[in-house]
Amino acid sequence: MTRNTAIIIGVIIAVIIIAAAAYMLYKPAPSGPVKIVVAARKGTYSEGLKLAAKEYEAKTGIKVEVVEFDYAGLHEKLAQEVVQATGAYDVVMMDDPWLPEFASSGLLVPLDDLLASRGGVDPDFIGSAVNVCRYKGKLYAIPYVGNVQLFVYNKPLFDKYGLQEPKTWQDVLNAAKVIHEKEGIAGYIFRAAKGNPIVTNLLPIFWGNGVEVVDNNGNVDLDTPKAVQVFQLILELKKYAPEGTENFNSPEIKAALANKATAMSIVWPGWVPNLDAKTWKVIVPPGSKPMIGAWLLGIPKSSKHQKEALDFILFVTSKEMQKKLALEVGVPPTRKSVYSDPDVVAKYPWYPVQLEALENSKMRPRLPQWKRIEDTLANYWHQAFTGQLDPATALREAAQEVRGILKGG
Amino acid sequence: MRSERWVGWLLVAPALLVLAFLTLFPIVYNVYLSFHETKISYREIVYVWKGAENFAKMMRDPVFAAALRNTLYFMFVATGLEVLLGLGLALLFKERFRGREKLVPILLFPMMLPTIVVTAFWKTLLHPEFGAINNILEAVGLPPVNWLGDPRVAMNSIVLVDLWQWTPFVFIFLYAGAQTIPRDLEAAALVDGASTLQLYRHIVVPLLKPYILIATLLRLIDTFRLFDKVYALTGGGPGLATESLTLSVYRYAFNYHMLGYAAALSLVMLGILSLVIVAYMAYTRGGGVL
Repeated sequence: MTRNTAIIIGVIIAVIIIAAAAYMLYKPAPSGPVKIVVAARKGTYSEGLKLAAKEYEAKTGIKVEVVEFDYAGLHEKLAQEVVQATGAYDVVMMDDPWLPEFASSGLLVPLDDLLASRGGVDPDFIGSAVNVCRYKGKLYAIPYVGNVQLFVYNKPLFDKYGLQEPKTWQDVLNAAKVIHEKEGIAGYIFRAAKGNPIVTNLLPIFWGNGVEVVDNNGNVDLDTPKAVQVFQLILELKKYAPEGTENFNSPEIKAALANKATAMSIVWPGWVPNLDAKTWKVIVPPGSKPMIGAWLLGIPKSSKHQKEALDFILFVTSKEMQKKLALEVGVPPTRKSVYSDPDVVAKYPWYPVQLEALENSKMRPRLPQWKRIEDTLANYWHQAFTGQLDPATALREAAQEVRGILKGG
Repeated sequence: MRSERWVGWLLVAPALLVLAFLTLFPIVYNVYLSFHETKISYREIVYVWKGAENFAKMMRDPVFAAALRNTLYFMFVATGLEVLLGLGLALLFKERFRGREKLVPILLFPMMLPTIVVTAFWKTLLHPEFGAINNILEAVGLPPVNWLGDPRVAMNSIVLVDLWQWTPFVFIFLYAGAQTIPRDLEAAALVDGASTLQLYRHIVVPLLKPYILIATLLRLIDTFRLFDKVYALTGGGPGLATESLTLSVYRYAFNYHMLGYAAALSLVMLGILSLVIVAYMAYTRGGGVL
């Protein structure tokens, strides 16, 4: 062995010893005061949580950190947490159709027992918003954002052409045609980017025409002549939509409404505060019960601070906090009393309509496989929407595939 | 001598262990997964033996068929155009002209941007109504194009964005290669009466060939992994027109918890990529380049 190799071996052994010693001496940071980490969808709702976090910290001394993700990113993080159980999050925000998935996979802590000592769920919460927090009878979350689909139309233009407030999707089509032809602007705008947007935007049109698509029992009525007719109506309506509508997501819809580049659109409550109140009349979407799209707060089983997490959730969804978040950030409440609060109604005059919509709202199918079904519907609907498949074929193939998924394929 | 060999193995042992852990283990696990179906519940994965069912399912899966077609199209079209354009630029910049030194860093700019920034920027440019590109088209009297919404155009729009971002890489790679060609070789050829075209055809491009091959290989591998541009620009749409293999793997694995099927898909991807690399190795060995 030469002198050089001896030196190299010596260095390697020294490094291994130091690394081993460091590993054994390493202690995790001493567990200081409790900190709650919240995984949230980025946007108005996470801004609300951050404001609530600040107040909560001032009140209790418990630090709350809000980690933000985009829609798909948040779902992915939660899906990974099911298997990995890292305990990285104490509170998780969920879109309501995700609840069956994360409740059935065992990620979420059932809340009924925990709430029993606190008097159960406050009856002030809107019934439909609490219903989406339940799966097979058990409560897994508390409703944080009272989201429900609304519909807006350009009132001055409707008046100008003597058009009535749309009550059915056929009315929407007729009005869209008139305004497009007379004004040269889009009559209607679809938020039809592939994925969640197109499904959430077309589903109410199916519902409004009596087509269920998929029900809670897994029945699929998508390959019927009626469903094909509905899709033909959608394609007819698309003729009066702006170029590129098949790739639009919320920013494009908000921009079109701000520029009055369309006469009608489905909207979510969070967008309404920025709309010109003189132009846009807010109504319940035509034809059917409006779709609920509430955002919920739940506690993952992997959290090490479940008690504090629940305490924080109840703080965020308390009457006082919901009022503050509605007024300061624009988070749509989930409590009846906040919707009738004079300060809140003075600022948001359409809130009575929103409450009515919420109370009569309809849930998307409560199926653990919904995410995959939604993407499958999106694949086929988007092909039909962009003229790559005729509606009958697209709906037939979508129905077949969805049935396969429901059978466990 | 023998003790030296022993020391050699000892020295590479840590690296081999790391390599085995990082490369071999995931591949073996991936193969195992691809023959199973996974049932996921809290803190638990149950593996159910499925034989070749995942691979059979792939044959019936219209999303897989579209993703495979789109990925291969993107891979070869984007790489081909990037190499051609990059080569053209490299040959242009090989000549000295005024401002050359200032232009090179500007040309490299797109490559230095994160893809998410690039896509945000292009999404604005390609907007059918307010986008700059359609505005220019309309100004010169051409019809506007629905860049990301028209199924016949969308994939090419993504190719365009990739060209913008990655042609600079091929350019700088070949430009560096071109610097190594001895000037006197070119001078000698010119003295012998070679035309410019002959000079390029018989001297410059053949000498650049090893660089071109490596740049092509690197771009083929990178374009095959197409994900972020599609994710940010079209989500795989319109319909299935820009669906890519990586996007499918991602959805099956992370959104639907179908780890077995996702593993089978990625195994097919590994196979395709291995073919490309084997072809490259056979070519370089057989042709005596490099």
